[in-house]
Amino acid sequence: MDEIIYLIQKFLTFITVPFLEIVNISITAGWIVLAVLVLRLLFRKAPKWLNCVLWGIVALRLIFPFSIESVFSLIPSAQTIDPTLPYLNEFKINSGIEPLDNAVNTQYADFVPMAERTVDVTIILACVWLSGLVIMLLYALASWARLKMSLKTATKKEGNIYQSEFVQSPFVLGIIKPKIYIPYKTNENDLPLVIAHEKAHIKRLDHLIKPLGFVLLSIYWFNPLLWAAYVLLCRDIEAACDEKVVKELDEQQRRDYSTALLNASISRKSIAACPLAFGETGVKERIKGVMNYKKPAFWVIIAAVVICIVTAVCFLTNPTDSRKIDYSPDISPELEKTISEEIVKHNKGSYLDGEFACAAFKVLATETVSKPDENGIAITVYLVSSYNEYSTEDGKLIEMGGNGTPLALSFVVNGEDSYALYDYWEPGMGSSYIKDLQAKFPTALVNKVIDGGYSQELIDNCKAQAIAYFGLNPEDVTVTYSEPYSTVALEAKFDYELTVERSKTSGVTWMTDETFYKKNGFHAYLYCLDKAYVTLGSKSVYIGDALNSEKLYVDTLLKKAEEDVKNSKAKTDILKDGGTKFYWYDGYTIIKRNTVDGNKDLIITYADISTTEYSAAVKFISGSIPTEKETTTTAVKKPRLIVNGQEINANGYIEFNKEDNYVTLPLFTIVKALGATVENPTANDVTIKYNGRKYLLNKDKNSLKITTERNDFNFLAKLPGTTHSAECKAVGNEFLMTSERLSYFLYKEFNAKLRFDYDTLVVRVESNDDINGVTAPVGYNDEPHFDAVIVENNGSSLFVEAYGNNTGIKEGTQATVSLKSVLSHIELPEMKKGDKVRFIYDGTIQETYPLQIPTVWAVYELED
Amino acid sequence: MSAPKVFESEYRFCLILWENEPVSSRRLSELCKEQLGWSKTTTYTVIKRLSDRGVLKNENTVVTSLVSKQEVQQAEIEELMEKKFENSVPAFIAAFAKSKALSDDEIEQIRRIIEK
Repeated sequence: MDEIIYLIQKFLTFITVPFLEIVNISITAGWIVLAVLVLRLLFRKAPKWLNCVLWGIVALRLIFPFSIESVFSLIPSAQTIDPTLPYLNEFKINSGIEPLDNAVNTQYADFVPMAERTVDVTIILACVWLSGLVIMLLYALASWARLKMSLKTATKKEGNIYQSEFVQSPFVLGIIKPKIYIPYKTNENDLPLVIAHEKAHIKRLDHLIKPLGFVLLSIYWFNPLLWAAYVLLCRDIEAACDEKVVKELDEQQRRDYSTALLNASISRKSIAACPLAFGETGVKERIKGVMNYKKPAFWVIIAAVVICIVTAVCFLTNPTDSRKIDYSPDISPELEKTISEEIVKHNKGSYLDGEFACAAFKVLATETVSKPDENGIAITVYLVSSYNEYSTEDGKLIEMGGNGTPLALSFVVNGEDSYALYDYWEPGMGSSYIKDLQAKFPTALVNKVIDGGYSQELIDNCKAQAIAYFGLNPEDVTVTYSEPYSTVALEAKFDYELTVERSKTSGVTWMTDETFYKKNGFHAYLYCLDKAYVTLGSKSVYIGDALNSEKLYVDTLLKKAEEDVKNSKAKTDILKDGGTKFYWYDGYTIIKRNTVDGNKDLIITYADISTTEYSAAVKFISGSIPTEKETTTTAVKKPRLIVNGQEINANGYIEFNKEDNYVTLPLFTIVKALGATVENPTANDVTIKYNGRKYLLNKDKNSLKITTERNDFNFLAKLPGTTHSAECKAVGNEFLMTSERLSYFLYKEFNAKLRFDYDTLVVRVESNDDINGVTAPVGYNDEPHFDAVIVENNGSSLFVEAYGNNTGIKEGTQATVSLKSVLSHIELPEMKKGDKVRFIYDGTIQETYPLQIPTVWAVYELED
Repeated sequence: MSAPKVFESEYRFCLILWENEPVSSRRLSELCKEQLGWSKTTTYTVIKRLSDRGVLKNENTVVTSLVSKQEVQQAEIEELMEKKFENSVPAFIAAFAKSKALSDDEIEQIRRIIEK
């Protein structure tokens, strides 16, 4: 089931790409349609075939996504909607008409800020488009099949002319072997004229043009301009066809022809319904056209041809970048050397100092630009680059670090072959990458660069340079990879600094890799930041590298943050969503997102981020970057709940009262583990339906009530060997459970293993679903308990001596505690003589000597 | 009993049948292919349809008509008269005269028919 949903999602995302292309083409084609409409009006007197050729230009634009650019282009913008829209985090159009762009873009900026939403909306629109396309094509096929069926009994008159009683007015049908169908009732006088008209259609290939037009209309059905174009095309085809027939006729014959037209068009309903056949349309105009036909003067024909050519040039090409770009430039060896040196200079020091540093690159284009300050020439070189540092050890090549990135380097050209760098441009990381690239690189290069086809070639080139430098034998070189830096592991020390650079745009950078995710179960992100470096001594390292290489642990980061809070270097706050923690520094904010579905992402973002902005970041993260986690959680419908008038957050869990030391029981965990559904959420109660039973979670009572319609309801939270089963007994078909028993319930119902630590209850849900640990305070304060020192541990029982103020047992009293009675699902701490422990028990003490405690719920180790 | 309804295309088929009957259905399909441009299946479908309607019979792949050409023509005219002219002969003739440019000779002939 999940796989099907996954495939559907895949498919939906897949169709958005052609869909956006189609929208763009349709918009550019719309411009041509408008132009053709104007031309039709201006040149009413021109021969009718001109109109058909003009529509042909529209069709060409629709069929071929032209990328030829010309200065004569009258299309305002080739890409009104960016095809990478689903991957961007804002909706923006670029129609080429500034006031329109401004109006639309500011409108959208207000209420569609999330990439998540543009994806959703695009997917929905793409689906609507696809359904429309399918409906149009099915309709055409069905009506064609029906017509074809009824024409089976049409009788041959002569050649390819057939007669049928089902034909109301003459038409042509068929793609490869077109046939002319005429009614039996056709007037003998009209017959030659009607046939001449239909034959002219076939000669003009109209039987091919019209279905093609309809297929194009089916694809672009959402554009009303193209519907207008199709309707007019049908008319123009008939007019042009008449023109072709009439050319050969004299005045009297034309009159006859007009009469024939009228006779043929008496009832044309059935044919008009079939888009692949010919109906006679626009009879009135056509008769006018026929009667007014004058052989066009030579100059009119010439003018018509010129109009067609001009229209084609102006509308079949996209506007040029007015930039002077050379896509296959000659790069002088001098410039090549300079580029190489600049790349090395720029990167040197960012990695572990390798013995040998080198760059490899491929120039994609150069652009002549105006020199920044004085007169002279300057060029910008667009290239993809790879930078690497190497060392050797025992004849092995060690890659010490490096990067591969597209660059735009601008040089001032000082005379012959001397270049001085004045701008070193590289794109930002993460989601700003594509956007930056689109802003800087020529459009034609962006996709080439994103495809990244060059990277291996460039890395190999670097490697070859290193092999040559170290004089190694290329045949048996093994490359090992070094950590990004070696010196001191950060986890032990707190003496590092974090520096960040605020990004101008909003966006998420994914810092950590799959290995990190597999180990930790979460990712680390930068939000609205361009750069984030940790410094150690003189080294400055990208924090993502540090985390991935385990030189910096998230725990270290958080411990330091706690330390900083203590030393008033940072402020902290906990969100009431299960423990998302904020650490506010002067320059940045560290957020440890801690939610019940195991999503404990680390987010580093700008200073003073508000909680609203934070939730935007979270949405962004869960919406824009699909992770394994995401695909498993989509199968579960996330419940929307209101408890105590407060909405439960997007992950849907209920928080029990912490101050009273009750369990934080994540509803989401239950719902997910049970595969249950949630219904009737009210202010205090939430009903979970599962397997015919209803479970009612009540916030005020911190309890779980189970009700069922079944009479044989036999579910008791029976704790082995305890009297607590009595408390849990069903009353009618309901019973209540409170905190400790709730833990047991978790264990019993979905095999949740409980581990009791001193002050936390860790619920591990062993389930096929990916549910990571949930931490919450345990509610033992309400339960009978006593503290004691272990006197002897013989494996199956403990001999202990109580100390301190306890319930039931006085200080100094000795007792035997049977370990067999301890709940089997609880992991016991290691206990040896002299250890201090706290027992949570059911309050039962057997008055023997020594005292016996038959039922223990939990044992906690106490620190001295 | 009036003859069953025969459509125009079926009438064309019947013309071939009347000319060649009795005729094997195979030969008939060849003739139809030649003269009407029908596919084999179309011919067989029409044979089946007309035999259901009692226009012809198909026994041991030999097709013979059950209705004559005159009967069919008669039926057509009756239907036309009834449907379009409410069985009024003058109306019929008037319409006929309007649709076709009649020569003086033809008019004279018709007048004579009416006078009789």
